[in-house]
Amino acid sequence: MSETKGSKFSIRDVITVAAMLVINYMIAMVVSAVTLPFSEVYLYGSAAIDGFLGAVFFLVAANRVNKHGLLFVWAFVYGLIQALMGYAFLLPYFLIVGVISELSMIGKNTYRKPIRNMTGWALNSIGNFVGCAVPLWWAWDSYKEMALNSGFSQETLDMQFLMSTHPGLMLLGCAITGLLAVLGVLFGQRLLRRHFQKAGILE
Amino acid sequence: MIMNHSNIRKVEQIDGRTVLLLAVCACFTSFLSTSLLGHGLYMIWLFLLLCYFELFTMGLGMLGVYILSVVWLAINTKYHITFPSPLLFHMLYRLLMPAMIVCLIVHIPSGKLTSSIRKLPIPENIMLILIVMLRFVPTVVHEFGEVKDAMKVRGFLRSIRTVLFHPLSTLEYAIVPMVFRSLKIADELASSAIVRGIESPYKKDSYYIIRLTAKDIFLVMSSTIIAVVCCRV
Repeated sequence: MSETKGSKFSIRDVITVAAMLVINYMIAMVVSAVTLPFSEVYLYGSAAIDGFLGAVFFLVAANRVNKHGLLFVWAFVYGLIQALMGYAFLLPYFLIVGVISELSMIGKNTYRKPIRNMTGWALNSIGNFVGCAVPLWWAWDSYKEMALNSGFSQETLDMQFLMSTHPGLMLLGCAITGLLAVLGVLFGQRLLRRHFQKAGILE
Repeated sequence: MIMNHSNIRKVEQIDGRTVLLLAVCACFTSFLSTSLLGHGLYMIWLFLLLCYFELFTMGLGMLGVYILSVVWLAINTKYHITFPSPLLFHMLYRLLMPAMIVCLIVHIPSGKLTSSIRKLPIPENIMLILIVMLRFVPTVVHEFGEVKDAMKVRGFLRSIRTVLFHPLSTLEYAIVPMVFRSLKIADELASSAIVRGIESPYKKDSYYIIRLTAKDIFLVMSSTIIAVVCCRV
């Protein structure tokens, strides 16, 4: 079956997506923990590294499920996790990210086309990067108070404020994230061809 | 077979929706409480809850990690130590509260959890994704350990030099078996669920009696009140 189906997700699809999401988020948590000691890497690189590493899992899910709504679900679940973490206002933001990413996948069989997957995944990753700045735009003062009480250094906060308010730096962050997400999809496609398609797991 | 109520584990006696509400309370308190005192008090409340649900060892472990993180964070900020970053300990101690409730959720039978959540106004696919995700976390951790052992045996993790000089190969050796194993488990899980009629279009029922009892109401109300108090301290 090579056409992107418009029908609902089957139970197999749902469980595949859930399994890939779990691995993706666990890797994202490890990436956050490892990059946190280095403020610059954390601010500009963590979403990008997530985009690179998570691409393989997204591609496996995309090629297996091949149904519209996958990127929307991916972003929605991410937003839901953020909302549970106390950033409830991020849920509508991630819904918008999901819709935009999903719009880039309109068409037939798009979840099995490397270029379209690259576009969709890069948009989703850039959405994750911009999402880091949303709490700052939303309520900088309360965020600053909370952050200072929690042990954030003034330098880190200044850097975060500069990043989120300077369009050039935001563009730089978006470019790094987009680039690594694209490289991640290229790496993922290579793995798909070499292992998963050869083993007959994916078409 | 009629089971004696006293033989059922305490965690199986409460409704899945109650535990989800406890999770929401824990998440909001963890991220909205501005004082360490309030945060610590709610952590103690969660520890007591875990003890009540016969998860004493797990609760004690988490409380220990929490105390360590808070103490380390205090030392970091007092002496302006930048490495390891205070952000790391901040993230750790904030995440421990939701993690404690996740431990509780993992101990509820999946059938009971599914039928409880089915009563909530959540799209079925999203609900299933969330349940499978919660169930998959321990599996992924276990599988990752197995893959790591296999990599060690085959000499792929022999030295840091090999890992640093061949990062993409190392990544490939780790990711590919991990995905293969996860897909296999996902397929088995899907087959099992289909056999038990999850795709049936008819209204689904459960072996478990899903209703909110006095215990559930007490847990939700006391947790909410304590959460509000802890956020205001």
